Amino acid sequence: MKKSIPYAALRWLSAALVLVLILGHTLKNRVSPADFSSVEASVAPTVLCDAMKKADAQLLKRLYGLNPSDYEGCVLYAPVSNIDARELLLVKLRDVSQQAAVVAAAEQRLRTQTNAFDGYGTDQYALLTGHSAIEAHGNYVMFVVSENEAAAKAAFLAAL
Amino acid sequence: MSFHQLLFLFLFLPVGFLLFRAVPGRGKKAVLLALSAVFIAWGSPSDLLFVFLSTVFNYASGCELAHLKRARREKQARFVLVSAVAADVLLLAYFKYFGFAAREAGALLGASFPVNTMPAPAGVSFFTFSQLSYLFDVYRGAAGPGKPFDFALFVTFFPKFTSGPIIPYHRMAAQLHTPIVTKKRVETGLRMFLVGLCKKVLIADTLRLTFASVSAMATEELSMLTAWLGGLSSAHMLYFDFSGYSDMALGLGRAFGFSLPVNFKYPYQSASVADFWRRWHASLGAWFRDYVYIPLGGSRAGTAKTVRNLLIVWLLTGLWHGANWTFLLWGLFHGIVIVLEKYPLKRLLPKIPVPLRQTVTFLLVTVGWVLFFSPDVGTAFRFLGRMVAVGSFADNAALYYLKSTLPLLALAVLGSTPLVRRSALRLEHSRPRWFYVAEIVLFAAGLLLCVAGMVSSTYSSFLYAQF
Repeated sequence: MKKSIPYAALRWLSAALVLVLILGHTLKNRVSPADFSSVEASVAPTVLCDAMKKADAQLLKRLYGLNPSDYEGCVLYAPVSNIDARELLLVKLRDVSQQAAVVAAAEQRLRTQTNAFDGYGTDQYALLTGHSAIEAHGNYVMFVVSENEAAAKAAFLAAL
Repeated sequence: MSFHQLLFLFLFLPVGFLLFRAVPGRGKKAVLLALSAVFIAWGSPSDLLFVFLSTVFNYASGCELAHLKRARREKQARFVLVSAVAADVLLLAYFKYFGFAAREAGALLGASFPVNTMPAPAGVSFFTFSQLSYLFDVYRGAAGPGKPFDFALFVTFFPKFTSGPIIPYHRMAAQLHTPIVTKKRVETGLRMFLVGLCKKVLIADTLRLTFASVSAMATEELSMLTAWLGGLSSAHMLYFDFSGYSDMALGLGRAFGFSLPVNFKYPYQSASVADFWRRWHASLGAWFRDYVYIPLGGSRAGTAKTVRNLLIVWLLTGLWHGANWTFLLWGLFHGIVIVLEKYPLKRLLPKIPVPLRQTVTFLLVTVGWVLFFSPDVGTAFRFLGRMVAVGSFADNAALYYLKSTLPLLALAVLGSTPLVRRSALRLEHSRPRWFYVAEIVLFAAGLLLCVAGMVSSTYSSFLYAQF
């Protein structure tokens, strides 16, 4: 009987710590009730310009490997020309477990673009390396490449 | 961290291996444990904390189970087993299925239930199944609870951590005592690793480009040929990706002193779907057989119960791969075909020539892959519809993909048969001098091409790592 006591205590302790870990994550990554269209309306004007246009589902899938129907809301403003690097991706997740995949897709897009412009487009390369941001907060993810990335970040956080 | 990253290949592996060789005796296990901890924590340090807590929980449960069994307190032992298994399964369900369940419940009730689940730790399905095997094995008396560091190494051993193979505890317990390292094992292990790397980087990742292009097209616009090229690319991409990973895992396991079970035995040579599942991800099939199918009664309790048991196992197999109706349907599809093979077609199948059975099995498996890779059931059926749309057989896109993919697809088809390996073994056996030179040149060229591929392309994770 005595032998099983420390094991039982260890079981309960480790199980309780796992619960604390999960609870901590839940409190840290609160789900925002903000409507997707209102977040888009707050963020998009800060970076939009003539060189960008709203992409369709196919382009989103091709550039990011993301399927818009998997998310509650998803919009991509992509550069009109191949020699531009400015873009904005805004995603409202169905649940936070999707966050890692969307962030990974954005990171991959950033790597691809950085590699593509390295040694070829000095301005675009500077934009990608110095003025890009991936923001993940609860059920929202934003990826932006723009001179006004700081304004976009501020608008994004304020809208959540 | 992943096996096909430059960081792993040129820093983690050589440094880790040198450390492992330099440290004598039991210190080797400490080195392996430390390497595994670094491997797990590299991408996400919180993963390591979670794995540590889960390992402590399961080890404590195993020790308590063994103690209660020794004391013949069967009722309490059963309670510990059930509660520990329930905790593991609930945690897996929280990571993998909670979001999906909330989404579907919301859709059904016309409401929205946004949930905030923690991102699943890498390899959660694999290490959870490993730990479940430990609990069952200790409960059945197939293995003792072992030493804490041995158990921790069993759970976290980096070659198998993210995507298996899932080795039952009782099969690894004896190896955990002393890793067996010989020059021959290191040599064959590294050779296997390199073959797996070539499969992943040179074949799977190249086929992925075709598959990504086809799946990015609107399904309605696909011609029959394009749909088939997409389907065949996905079938071979999946095979070379996962079997490449498994080769690397087995090779690393061997180089570091452990024998892991073979996961792939030329599955596209299978003469039935049941045979396919003995050859594809064999360690998962064996796990479900040993810990679900047989405890449910297997095929010993009459036809109706056997059919029920088979369908349960295949629904669970589908569910294990992910939280989506497509995976459930994929599992059910395989289950139904296996039931058909086992009962109504049992006498007919042996009369059909083997090549025809192999072809039909491959086509059925490819149809299954469409369910597997589609984002939703509607898209899957639209894609399958395009595969039989004889009216629009081919278009310019199809001819382009045919021209650009055919050589690689032909190579992939050849590579998925035992022909290449058999020829290599025959040559090795006859030992012509030029064979060794050719082998060195081939491996060096393969490694160079892989490194070039890894440097030039963006990172693509192992497909099974997401499960």
